[in-house]
Amino acid sequence: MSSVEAWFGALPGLLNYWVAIILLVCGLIIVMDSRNLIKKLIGLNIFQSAVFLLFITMGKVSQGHPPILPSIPRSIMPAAISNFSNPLPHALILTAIVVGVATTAVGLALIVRIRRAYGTIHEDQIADKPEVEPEIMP
Amino acid sequence: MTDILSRHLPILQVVVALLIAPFCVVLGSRNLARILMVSTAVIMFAISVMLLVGVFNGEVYSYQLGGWAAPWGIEYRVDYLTAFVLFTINLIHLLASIFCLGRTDDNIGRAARPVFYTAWLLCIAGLNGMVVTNDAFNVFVFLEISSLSTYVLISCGRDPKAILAAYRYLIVGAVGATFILLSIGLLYMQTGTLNISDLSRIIAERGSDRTIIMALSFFIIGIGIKCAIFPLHDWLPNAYSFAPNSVTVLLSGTATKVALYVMLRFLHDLFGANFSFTEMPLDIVLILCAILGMLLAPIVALRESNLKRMFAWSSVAQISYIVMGIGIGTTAGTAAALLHLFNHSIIKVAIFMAVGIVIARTGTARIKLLGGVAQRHRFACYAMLFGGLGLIGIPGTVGFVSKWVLVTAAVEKGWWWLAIPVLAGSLASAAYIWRIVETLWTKPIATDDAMDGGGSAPLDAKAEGGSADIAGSKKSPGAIFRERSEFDRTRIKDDTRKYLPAAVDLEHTPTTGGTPIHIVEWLPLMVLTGLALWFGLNASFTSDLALRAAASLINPEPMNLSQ
Repeated sequence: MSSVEAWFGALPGLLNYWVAIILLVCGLIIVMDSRNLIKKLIGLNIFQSAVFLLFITMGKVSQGHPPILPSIPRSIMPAAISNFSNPLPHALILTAIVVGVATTAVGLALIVRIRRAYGTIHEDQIADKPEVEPEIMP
Repeated sequence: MTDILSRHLPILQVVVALLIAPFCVVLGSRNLARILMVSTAVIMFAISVMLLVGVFNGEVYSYQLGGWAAPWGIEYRVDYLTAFVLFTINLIHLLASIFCLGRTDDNIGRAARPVFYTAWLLCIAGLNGMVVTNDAFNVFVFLEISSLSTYVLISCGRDPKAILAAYRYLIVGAVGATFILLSIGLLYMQTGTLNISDLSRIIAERGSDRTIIMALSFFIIGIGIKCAIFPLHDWLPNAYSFAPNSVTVLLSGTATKVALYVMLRFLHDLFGANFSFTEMPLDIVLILCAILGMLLAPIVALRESNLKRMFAWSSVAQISYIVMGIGIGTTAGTAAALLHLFNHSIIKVAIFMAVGIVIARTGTARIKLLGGVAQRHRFACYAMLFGGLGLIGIPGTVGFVSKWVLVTAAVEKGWWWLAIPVLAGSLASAAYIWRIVETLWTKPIATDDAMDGGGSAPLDAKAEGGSADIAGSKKSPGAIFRERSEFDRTRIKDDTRKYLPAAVDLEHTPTTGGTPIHIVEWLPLMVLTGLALWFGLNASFTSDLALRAAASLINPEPMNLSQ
């Protein structure tokens, strides 16, 4: 009884983690289940965003302020602002977002070429066409 | 001057290729791009040799990027293990980039070449970065740099299936890399640091909890995809067989090897051998995967009809030996893994070079159509055979040395039964190598003649004849070709159309004898074969190096992070 209560009591504080896990699993299922190449890529993006959310969440410090140097002198700064959020996960995720965008771009470029060669972006229809003319690169 | 240079060597190893890569596109000239690429490869190889010599002289390089001290800033660190892997991959890269200048991939035209070289350089820069960095997040970034350019490189293959293979690898690889990112995130959550040495210290101090266990699981799945450990190997055969020949050469010697290095580094250094192998049953898991891989992959290879794909499956099998060495976990086991990492790089790269030469000259990768090719392409076929003997582990080859060390390590640990799958796997690989020998040497010349429109007709007829086709000896090879079954003929034509340059029209222009083998193709092949021969007969250098590297990983000297 009490354990269930504790479980539900912890739920709001862990909301972001729950959302991250749900998104993670959703994304993974879309990647594995979808037969449309673009939808697969969308699933991949959802999957990556879930991990980004996890990182961003861990940067949050309770009662923490944005880690930006205030414009007012430090001497008259309110004493309350001594607690800053952790900026490092944000910096990491900025990099990871760039990587994710690059992955999506390469994936989309490959899909364009697949469509040019096979005339479709659906995996079942691609499997029906085992032989297609090779593409001559410039 | 030399002092400054030697201090900056770790960063130069990565940054040279990273900086030169865009110039290949910007300058826009194919020849300039070629010169840039090969000179970069030479410079990077020279740097890796200098690092190796420096490490031998007792130096441990620790480079702080931007002058930020280690736990906060990014640290590049070079010890024995790092220097050993850097040496391996840069040696392979140098030879592969020379090989890349040849005519094995002539579907990539003049305009596409500079972009191709850029992707090539970015790939190797990322791989070097993964090896040299001592920062967990940096590993992820470099992993993605190298992976993204790998997808581009694979999609350059002649067959349109290459694009599909690249796409599938992209999906699987991105999921794997995101798993690694997730694992790094969980580690950061628990420890608040990203420096590998720092992480290892903190994890050892505070012990494991569920978060760390999750981090380890996510990491193993993610890196397992990149290493192509047996159940996660699905991308490898497709990617290797449809990639351009030179890209297969590069990837087989570097990409999976670097991923294996990262796995070794994380398991021993970051998580700690005690946690990964004693607390978690990772040794059993890895060895089980390895046994399955080394037994099942050769069987698939035996049934494969495509030469390149067959050797790709053999790569899956050979990676299993390395994984088994990692799974044994002792210094001797790790040394065996590293030794096989180096030896397998050498022989498999030589094999893929030879395969590339044969495919480019004959226009087909179908084993069935390659009968008698050895009589025309002697050197390439003998190199392939020699490499194949190495894969089996015939005494006197490099494969024997590393398998011997592996079995010795297993016996030392008391797991003598591991010798059984190793032997069985070797026997299975003997079967598929024999199949190649049988086809390339003893089968009648089929397609080669048909395509060349000339050559040894009597030989062909003698081999074919006896039963029905005695009169064939009088006929021209072209006639024999026409008399083949309709099924086979369309297959040959389909195949040749796919693999031959667009200019070659089979029906109207009979080409003469195939293009002669080019110096940039036989030189790296010869060097690799020579190296394999040398290290097979005199393994003291490589095994000493591997032993030192393993020792530096497992019993690191106490280091202080503060400096």
